[in-house]
Amino acid sequence: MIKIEKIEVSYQNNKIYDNFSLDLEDNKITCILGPSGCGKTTLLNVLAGIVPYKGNIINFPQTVSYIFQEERLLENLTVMQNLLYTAGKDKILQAEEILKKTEILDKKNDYPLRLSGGERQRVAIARAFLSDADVLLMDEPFSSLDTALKIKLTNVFTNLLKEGKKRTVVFVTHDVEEAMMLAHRIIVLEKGKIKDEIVPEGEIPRTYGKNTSAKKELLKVILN
Amino acid sequence: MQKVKKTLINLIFPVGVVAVVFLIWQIAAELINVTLILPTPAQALNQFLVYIKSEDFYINLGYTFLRSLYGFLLSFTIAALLTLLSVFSFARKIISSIMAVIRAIPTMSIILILVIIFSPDSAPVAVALIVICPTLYSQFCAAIDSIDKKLLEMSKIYKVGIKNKIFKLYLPNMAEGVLEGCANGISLNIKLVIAAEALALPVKSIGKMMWYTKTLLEVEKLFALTIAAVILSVLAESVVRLLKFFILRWKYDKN
Repeated sequence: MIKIEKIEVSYQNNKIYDNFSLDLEDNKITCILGPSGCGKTTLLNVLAGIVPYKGNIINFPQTVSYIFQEERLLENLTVMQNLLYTAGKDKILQAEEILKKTEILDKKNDYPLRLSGGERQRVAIARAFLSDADVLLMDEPFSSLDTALKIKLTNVFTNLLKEGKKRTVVFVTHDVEEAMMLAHRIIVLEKGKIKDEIVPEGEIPRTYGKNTSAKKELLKVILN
Repeated sequence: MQKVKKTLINLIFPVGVVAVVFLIWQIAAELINVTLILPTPAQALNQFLVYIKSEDFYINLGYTFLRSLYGFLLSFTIAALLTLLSVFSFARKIISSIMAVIRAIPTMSIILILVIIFSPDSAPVAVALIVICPTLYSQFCAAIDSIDKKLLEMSKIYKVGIKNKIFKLYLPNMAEGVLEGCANGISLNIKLVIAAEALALPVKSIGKMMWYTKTLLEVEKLFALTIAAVILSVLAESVVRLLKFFILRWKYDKN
């Protein structure tokens, strides 16, 4: 289990996290849900090692993979080259396999400029899953997509997660439906503090938009 | 069809502008009506045609071009090295300050001073170096600064090696800014070298030829040499822009 213990994070003289602690269960999807500006992305970036902090993070691996809100693909490299840029050039076969699973193998020699938003996000997902990292971080990866595409990519994501190696996933969103679809555990964050925790029932991915008791409970917490 | 239309428009505009310039020149020449002050375009072009049949002209043009190329390559190399050093912020502050001072010096002062210090052959190269290097340096620094910080972050998170970062992230993303700087710089470089040649008077040079024609009041020859200098400048810039297009074809590969 990864333990975040009493961390303190400041940015431009503002304290974003003060004495914040959280346990992340291995091989589960933990969703951090909260409004914009509550510190969700900062927490992810602390885990990614790009934001300084005080405190301890225990049992955290050396490498992570990350699916960003904006895909962050290198426009001067083809789809395949983008994957090999982070994974290494000896992973061509695995890269093709992942591209096949994300249904974008036919675009492997295309530049990102030629891809639609959904296709670009597939490449970003493929890049993350090509990595051997034990922890996968996701920062609102489906926020810019329409509902149909969101559901499709969520299915792609969960298939990859189930078929591939076990990974601990920390997933950040402000979208209740996304949280309900994907998370084993939902942490509601407000101003750098844990407001509540919800554990939805059922296997992931859950049906988009379905009204469950967990969802009702979650909405109550958010609206209070 | 759209591409053909766009290409035609891109060709027609510059040709049209040149035609308008020649028309204005013709009108002005006719109004002034004194060849010693302003020859007509036809007189200048006739003299240009005489030049391009002359072996001596090409030798002088070749030497001017080589001086320009040498000066530019020196400027490029030094600007690139200084940009690398500027990765360290204290070095950047010092180098930027020096470059700012150099840029503030009037170009003619630089030319006159260096013509006194250096030999006739070296002075034009030195002028190009002093004037172009700061411009290229600024352009190169701006190119590095323009690299998307989010891509750098992504590379850091995925622990991408330094070699990959340099050749697949930094250089391709800097290429546009660098090549644009080179395209503008090479054209300016040629003009500076010719200006310096006109004062330093190296044996073989377009600048010296211009100085002679000015001294002998052979104004149509001076205009013809100016046309030659413009063509050289445009050709050099075009080569760099073509290189830019090839290197950055991934940017245009949208369809």
